[in-house]
Amino acid sequence: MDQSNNKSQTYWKSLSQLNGDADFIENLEKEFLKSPVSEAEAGTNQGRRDFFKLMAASVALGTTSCMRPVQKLVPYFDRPEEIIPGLPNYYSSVFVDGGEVYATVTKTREGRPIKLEGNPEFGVKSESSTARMQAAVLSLYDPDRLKAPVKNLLNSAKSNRDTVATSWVEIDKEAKKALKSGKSALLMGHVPSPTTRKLVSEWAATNQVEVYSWDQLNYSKLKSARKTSYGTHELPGFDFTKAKFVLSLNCDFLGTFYGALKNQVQFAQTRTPDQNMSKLVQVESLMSLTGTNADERLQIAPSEQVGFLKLLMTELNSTHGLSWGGAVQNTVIQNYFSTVESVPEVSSQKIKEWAQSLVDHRGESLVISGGAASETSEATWVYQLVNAINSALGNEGKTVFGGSASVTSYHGEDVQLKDLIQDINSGKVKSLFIYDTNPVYTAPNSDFKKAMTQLKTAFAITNYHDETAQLCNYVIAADHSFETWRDAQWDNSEVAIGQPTIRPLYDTRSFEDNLLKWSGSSQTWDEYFLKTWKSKSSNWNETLQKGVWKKSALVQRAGSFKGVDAPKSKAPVSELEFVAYETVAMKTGSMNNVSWLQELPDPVTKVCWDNYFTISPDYAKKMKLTLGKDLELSVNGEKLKAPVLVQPGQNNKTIGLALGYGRTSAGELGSGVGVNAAQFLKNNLSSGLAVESANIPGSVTPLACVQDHHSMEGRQIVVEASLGEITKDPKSGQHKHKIFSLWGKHKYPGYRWGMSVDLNSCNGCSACMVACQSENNIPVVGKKHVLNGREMHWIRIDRYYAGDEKNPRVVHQPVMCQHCENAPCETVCPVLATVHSSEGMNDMVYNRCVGTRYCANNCPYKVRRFNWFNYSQVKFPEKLKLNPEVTVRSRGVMEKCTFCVQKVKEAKSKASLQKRKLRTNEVKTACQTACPAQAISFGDLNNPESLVVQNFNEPRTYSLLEELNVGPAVKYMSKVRNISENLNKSHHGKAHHGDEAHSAPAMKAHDSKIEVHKKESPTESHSPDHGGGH
Amino acid sequence: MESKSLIDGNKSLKDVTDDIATLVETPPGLKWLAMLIGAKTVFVFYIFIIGIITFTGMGLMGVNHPIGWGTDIVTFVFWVGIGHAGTLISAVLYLFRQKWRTSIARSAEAMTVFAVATAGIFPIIHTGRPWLAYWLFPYPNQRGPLWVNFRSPLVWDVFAISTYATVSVVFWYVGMVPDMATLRDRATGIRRHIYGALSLGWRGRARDWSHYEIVYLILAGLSMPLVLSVHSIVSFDFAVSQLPGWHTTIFPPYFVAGAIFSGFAMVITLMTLVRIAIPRFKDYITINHMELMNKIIMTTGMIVGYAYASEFFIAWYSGSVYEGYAFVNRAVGPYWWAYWTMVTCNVLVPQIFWIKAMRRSIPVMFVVSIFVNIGMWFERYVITVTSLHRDFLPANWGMFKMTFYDFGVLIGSFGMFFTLFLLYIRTIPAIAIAEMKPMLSEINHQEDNHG
Repeated sequence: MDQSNNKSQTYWKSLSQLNGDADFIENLEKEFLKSPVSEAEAGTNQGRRDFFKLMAASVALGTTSCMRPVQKLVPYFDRPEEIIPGLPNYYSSVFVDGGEVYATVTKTREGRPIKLEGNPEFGVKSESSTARMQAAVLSLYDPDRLKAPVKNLLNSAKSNRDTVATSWVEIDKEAKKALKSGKSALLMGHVPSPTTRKLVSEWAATNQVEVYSWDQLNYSKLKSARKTSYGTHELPGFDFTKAKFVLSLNCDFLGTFYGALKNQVQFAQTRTPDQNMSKLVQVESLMSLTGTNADERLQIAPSEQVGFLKLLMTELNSTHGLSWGGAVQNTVIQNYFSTVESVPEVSSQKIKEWAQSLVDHRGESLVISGGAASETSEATWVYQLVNAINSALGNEGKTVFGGSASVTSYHGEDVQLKDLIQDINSGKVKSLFIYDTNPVYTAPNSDFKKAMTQLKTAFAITNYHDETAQLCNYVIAADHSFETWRDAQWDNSEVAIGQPTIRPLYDTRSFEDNLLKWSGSSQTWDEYFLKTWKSKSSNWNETLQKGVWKKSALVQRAGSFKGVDAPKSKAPVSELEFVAYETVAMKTGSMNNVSWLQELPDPVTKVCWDNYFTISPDYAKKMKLTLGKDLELSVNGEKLKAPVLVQPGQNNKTIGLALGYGRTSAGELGSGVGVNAAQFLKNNLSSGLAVESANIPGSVTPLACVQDHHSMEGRQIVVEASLGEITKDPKSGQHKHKIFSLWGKHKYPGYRWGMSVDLNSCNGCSACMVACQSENNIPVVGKKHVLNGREMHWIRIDRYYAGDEKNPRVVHQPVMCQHCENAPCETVCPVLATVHSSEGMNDMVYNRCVGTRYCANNCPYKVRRFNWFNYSQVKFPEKLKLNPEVTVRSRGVMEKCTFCVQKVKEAKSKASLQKRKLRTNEVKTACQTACPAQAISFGDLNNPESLVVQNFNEPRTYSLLEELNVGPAVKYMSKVRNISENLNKSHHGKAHHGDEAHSAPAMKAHDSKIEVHKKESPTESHSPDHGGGH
Repeated sequence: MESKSLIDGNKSLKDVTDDIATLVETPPGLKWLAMLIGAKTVFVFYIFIIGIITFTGMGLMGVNHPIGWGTDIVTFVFWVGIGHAGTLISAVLYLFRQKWRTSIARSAEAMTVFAVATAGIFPIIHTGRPWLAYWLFPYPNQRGPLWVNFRSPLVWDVFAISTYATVSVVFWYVGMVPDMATLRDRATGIRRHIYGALSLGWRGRARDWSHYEIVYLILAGLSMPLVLSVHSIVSFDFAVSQLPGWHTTIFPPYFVAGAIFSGFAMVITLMTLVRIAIPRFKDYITINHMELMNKIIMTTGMIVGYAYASEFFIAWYSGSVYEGYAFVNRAVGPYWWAYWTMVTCNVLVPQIFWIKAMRRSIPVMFVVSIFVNIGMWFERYVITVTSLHRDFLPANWGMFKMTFYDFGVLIGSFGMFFTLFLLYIRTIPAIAIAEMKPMLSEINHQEDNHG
């Protein structure tokens, strides 16, 4: 216990503390024990969530029982000038996620940020977002955020976890003392904020502080490969809009790679099913989100990456005469290739086709590699070869850029952490400030933890009392990024600018304020930030309003290819290779305590609340493993036990495990969820590590998978066709049914709302799910209840596998309430709690609902969600997040997608104040706005100009479960794959179609007014083998 | 019928009155007390379980997404079905002048009333907000007035069950009035006053009898359609939906047959127990009665079996992928065990009654009746759960697992039922005295003729 010799501390509670009395210390420890529940169930983490459930239950039991909770509204005594109760204010703000930069438009209500949308002025000019960006707003209200500075009462081994409150005075005193010693350093994450970086460098210069930048995912190898190939240490920028043929080598550019949002937006633009449709070939080890969207896919082990490139490059060289930057380079490559075995799984036919496609699309193709799954020991070499191909094809400067068009937000470097550890060990660094990075968790094998014990004082400036902060002497509670001025730069063209959207909720201080304070400046960060910006921007108010400062237009020039260096090491080939990968929701685990992300089913596996070993179906068969059975792997001498998930389409020689899980102090919610894959990693390699042993301990960990069944069972659910088929017959794959009704149709004299979902654009990224959750106050239920099928998402994404289990085609299908015209739910509700609106919506009247759940049973899409418990009972601070426009549903009530009726109402009342009708496409639902691929369109079906009507008139459009004649107001557009094979042979042929329906003119938006169905013969043509069932 | 005796033991009129009324008039024995305490304990447990579920949430039970209805609805349909035999025996057999119904009619009706009461609790507790379940009734209100949705089968259900409960209670009670008078005449003290009030001033005059007969006949006539309607409407809860496995036109007759089937099985269960508990009742509830009921069980069991087969045929013949899958999934899917339990219990086991000795063996019929009860519970389980667990979109498919609370309400409901039945046995003549007596004279008359 080091407080015995810490008598100089400013505050002491009693003499016994001052004297280091043993009893007192014991009591002190007890006083600061964690909650009894998490203590009792340490390690399982189930405890806390159950505790809250029980608490909610007991509160219900004791007080409110049969009543809805009564809440009191208190009006403002002094109303803030800009706030009008009931009306939202929008501010531009910035959310930085590692090196990812998001400019957001933050919606605030009564001073509380409640929803984020993309800032269409920034980047790809899209309002869309990612799941993590949507979830950022909830992290502001995380109850586990640090509420005040804390001092860790560390013993010499730094093994205890006792803390006491401390004061800013003490923090400042200690920090200044540390700085005065002259041996201090700052370790920070990517921190892509130019103003913060400016302040840091000024501060570092005055105080002689060494600055190190590191984060788990920093693409160092990609940057250094670029250095070798083109002379500059930089991250390439991409332009997918110009790429007609994309060959991705273990790069999840749509899911977790840098710039994923931009890539998604751009990639979707190239996927219109016409002759210009791009083609994506994914060569990968696991099944990534990008892999699920690939037209063609090939699985290779990580060690086979070079082997694959050898085949491809040899073909490009021998058949098409491509060369790799001169004779010398060619020889280096040739020599190395002679030592590399070709990949056995690849058919030469495919290589020929792909090489041909690359050559056919010179300057408009792209070979891309990078990200966790490609980071083998020879990754730098792989990236260099990729550079060689892109340069030879003339893609460099067209679809991939360096120079001023490179991505500058990833400042961290692998080498910097190594340097820091070295400098600490050599005594060069005695005190350390840590900001925005958590190496104790993300780099557990890097000796950083050990080095920390050598420090005299360490300060963590952080939002959480996380793994690294626990080993620091002082934990400085930082403002959330929405509580302070923030700017961020993705590339050299523009800077996103964000203003604080809320006063700090707690006694926190921004990182920058700390630096200013410690350098004795009288300026606050607000003043510093504004002064800096006002000197830069001539029209500051407008810049701030837009939230974007345009710097300069990007000069997209080609780097001149300098070649490759001789490879240093070859990737070890082993029987089983381990691949650590990132998931869309968790990434490196920095937002583990955000419940929306924990409960977001992974877009590929559909599992939430856990990570798991993904194994191939073959390996599963060999080892007799099924979903949830535990597997114990040993890699790099470390052992980890986790349940398995059988992943169709995964390479047989690989085992995957997601990074970003297994945190020990993420907060109550995120701690103890899954295992930390980083424990397997040495030197930050995350792919191709040899699995030393694999044991099956025989235990089972149930995995919360929201989808138990993965085949469409031959039913017409997702209509899929190849590009060739769709060109010939735009209705290819659709089996139309002759439908008649005895009843007349509903009349919709005013608006009639409908939605179209383009399955060809949808890539499954799941941003819509979190956006919906954020907009509509949808609760999170926890792993236990997800296991029981009680997740509450109003929009879900069904993911089906088709074809061969070893290399399946994957389709994503967002399913929300279909707002049926003849809604099965409406007829069966005994109390009229769900009724048809005059505008074609299926309205849910929560306070009328008794909870018979008949509606859910009768819903063929099963989109209704039931409040099994009082999920909505949230407390401060989470309750500040609630959207006041949307009713919070109490226990026993059914709920479902409302088509964001509150947004429709808001727009309509705005329009009526302006004495006009709604403009075309004026209302956008939360899912629609969030969708990077613009797969979702919403609008008035009575307005022929609206986007949704145009989509409905597309022949590719069909209704899900059309034959039930429920008349969904949501229609889907079929998925198109850019492949030469036919996908629908089996469905056609002998099946007897409703031919009239097939040749019938495209469905009109006004079909409610057109009595097209009256004359048809009253026989339903259910052909016996429709959909290929039986 | 004449060939077989419906009352054994060469009883006089006084014997009949004494045999039946004594049970109500003497203090209960230890056996009865023990049974009551057992049943009541389960009943109290049931009340607690319901209380916990009501205060905490439906989430305590196994129901989930996509299986929105589980044990509550399964058990509800089970109990409603049980109730059917009562009406059938008391009304239909009465109208068809089936004399053998007399000795079991009272208890069968009591069973009906209690079964419906037990069943009636489930639709309320299965709702998310049971305290608002009264919204299912179309009562004048100040919410607009906000009316119920008359298109919803659940509203039809409310009417069907409440009508059925009302008519059953009235029919039961009216049939009881002469017996109440008999008890009144034999009783003293407070009991005399209670039975006096319950006998509605019955004096045994010719006018009383004449009114009584007419009312009874009318009520019988009124109840008869209920036999068909109640379970038909309960079946609409399923048949009117569009869920494969529910959306079936065969459901109304199939449910009615099943209900009679299960109802008779429950009567057999109860009557064998009554015969064991009160040996002198063996003279009135003779083996001949039991055999007749067993024949009905066998017949309706085969009707049910036919319905099962027919469902499969239609599923195939319809050509609907969803329908076809739903039924294949029943037989060979993850819930195959429930399906085959149902088929075994309901179709195969009753076949044993082809053998006369088996029909007339009390132990055999008791075991068979238990099997049928189990099988019929599983029938509803199969219909409700296996249809819901895999419907149109495979992404929604899920599994249902019963929790402690599911078992709690299932077992608890038996506690409620048996508590009521045991109380009934000791407070109301379990056999209709007034109806037995004319039979006695008929039998004596026949014997005279033969003798």
